[in-house]
Amino acid sequence: MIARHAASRGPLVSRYGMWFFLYTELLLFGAMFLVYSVYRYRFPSDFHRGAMEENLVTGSINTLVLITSSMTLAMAVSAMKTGENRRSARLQLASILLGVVFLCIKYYEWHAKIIKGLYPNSPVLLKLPKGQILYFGLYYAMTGLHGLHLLAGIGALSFTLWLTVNGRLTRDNHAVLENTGLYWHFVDIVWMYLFPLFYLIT
Amino acid sequence: MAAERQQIPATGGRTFLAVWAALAALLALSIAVALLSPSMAVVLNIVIASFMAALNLLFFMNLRYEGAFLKTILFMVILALAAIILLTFSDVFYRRAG
Repeated sequence: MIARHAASRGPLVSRYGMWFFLYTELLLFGAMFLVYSVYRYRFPSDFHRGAMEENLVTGSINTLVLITSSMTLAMAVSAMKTGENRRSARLQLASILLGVVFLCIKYYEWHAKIIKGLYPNSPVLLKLPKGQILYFGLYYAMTGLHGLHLLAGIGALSFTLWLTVNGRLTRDNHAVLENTGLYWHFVDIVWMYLFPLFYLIT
Repeated sequence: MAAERQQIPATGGRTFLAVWAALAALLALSIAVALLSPSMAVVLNIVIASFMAALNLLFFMNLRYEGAFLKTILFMVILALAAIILLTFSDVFYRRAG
């Protein structure tokens, strides 16, 4: 009786678990946004000069890529709910590939800075004003943490894709895919704030 | 208190496409604001980002189907974050750079 009751609470309880985890993630990224805001307030012109190094075109493309990946994943979860497992698998694969595209563009952006000597503790960076050192430190920390989250999302999504292809997920049992979707969309939301703060302040 | 659902119902592909179009339009708007009005860009772009986040939360994350409990907790987390930011800046604004 108790076991059956617990099982019937499964999807809701597991969804709540993911939401609460995401609330803690919100506070983690929130703290970083706070540090950014304080130093931006203190060194406005240095942050402005630092942001001149950002590539608005690649940043905008990346935002569009992430928004699109969120859409394909939301469609994948919905397809699973209507029993269209093959369609769900294709859409999950599309989200994974878009996530990889995002990381490749991010690699290109980091690489462009690193070859200019703009990386934490580099001799070039240490000669810059304090505000710019802080700007690039925050840029690498915040986009790096975001990138790690996306990488974890790609890993989780690869697992759900494997489960889907092997018929382990069904329209009545797909909490793991739904929760991975919630996580992925949250990572998308974090980027929606990172993009204007680093790319649109020049 | 709104009832909590075990299973979130499926959403049609057209709805997701419409949300994607709205998000893309908001992205274009935030770039336009930054290029045309740099002095107002920070505040406006945070507002635009919040609209984008709300669309994501409501449609992609299906918050619109969740019960009042989850929404209340989210509101409290945002409130806590706002309080932390407000208290920090109340210190930053009145502290001389040393």
